[in-house]
Amino acid sequence: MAKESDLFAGQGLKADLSPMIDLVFLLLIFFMVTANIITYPKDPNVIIPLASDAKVPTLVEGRVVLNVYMDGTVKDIDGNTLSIDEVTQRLSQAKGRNPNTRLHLRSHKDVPYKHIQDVSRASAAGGVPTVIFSTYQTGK
Amino acid sequence: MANSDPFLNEEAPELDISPLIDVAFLLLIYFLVTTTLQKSEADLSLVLPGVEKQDDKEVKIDQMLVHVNQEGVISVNKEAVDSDPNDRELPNLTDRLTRYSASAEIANTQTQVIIDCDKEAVGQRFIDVLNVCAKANIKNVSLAN
Repeated sequence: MAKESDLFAGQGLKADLSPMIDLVFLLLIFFMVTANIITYPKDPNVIIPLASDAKVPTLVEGRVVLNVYMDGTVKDIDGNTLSIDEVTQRLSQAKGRNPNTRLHLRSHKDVPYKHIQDVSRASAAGGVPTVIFSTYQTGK
Repeated sequence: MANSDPFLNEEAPELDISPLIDVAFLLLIYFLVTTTLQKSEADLSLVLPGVEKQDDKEVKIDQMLVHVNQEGVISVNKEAVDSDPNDRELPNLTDRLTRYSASAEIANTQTQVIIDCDKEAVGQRFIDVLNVCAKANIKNVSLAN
């Protein structure tokens, strides 16, 4: 009669890794699909307005991003404070380098309109007519 | 008699998948660490007047003036349409602008909405009006001085 140990000889216990690999791949694909490539730094101190019919952009090339804070301070993405004249100058220079330059305005939702108007005027004076307002999509 | 074929005595070839799992885990950890849940930002664009390219052909422009006062009350041609400053959807303005856009299309005229916003009105209210223009498919929007 064969011994019990002989029956299972050469069949050491093995963990089946395939479900774990499946799970890891699923998680990996989830994070790869949902990850957004950060194209420009977004200052969390600027709480941008809500707009249900805004469109998520696919192309962000040629944009000059400016943040307008609650007190009307205008800063670029590096955190340098700009006066209205400097905004005009900055946009004019950007327009010289790239004719497709657009102003991307991240204005605080509660900022008085006069500050938005000032920056928009500065943009027009700098030869950049297109102003893009950053918003959060709602209801979608 | 012992089998003389050396290939029959060898174990079946197995694919070692442990490096693959290592790489997958490393990528997973990378994405887990670097991912931050952030709402994506969307665009509402505006082309400022005066610098647009002028076409050779004459285009009839039908203008509509939308006024936003300090409290956020919205008026069209001096008639108050939406007075609740907390209402983001602006139903009356949406209705007006949708009809305006449709009638301009029938009459073959170009729409133009001029937003006259009070200097002290909050930015959100201005964006609300801009959003309604986008909803009504009005692309020609300008700002009053």
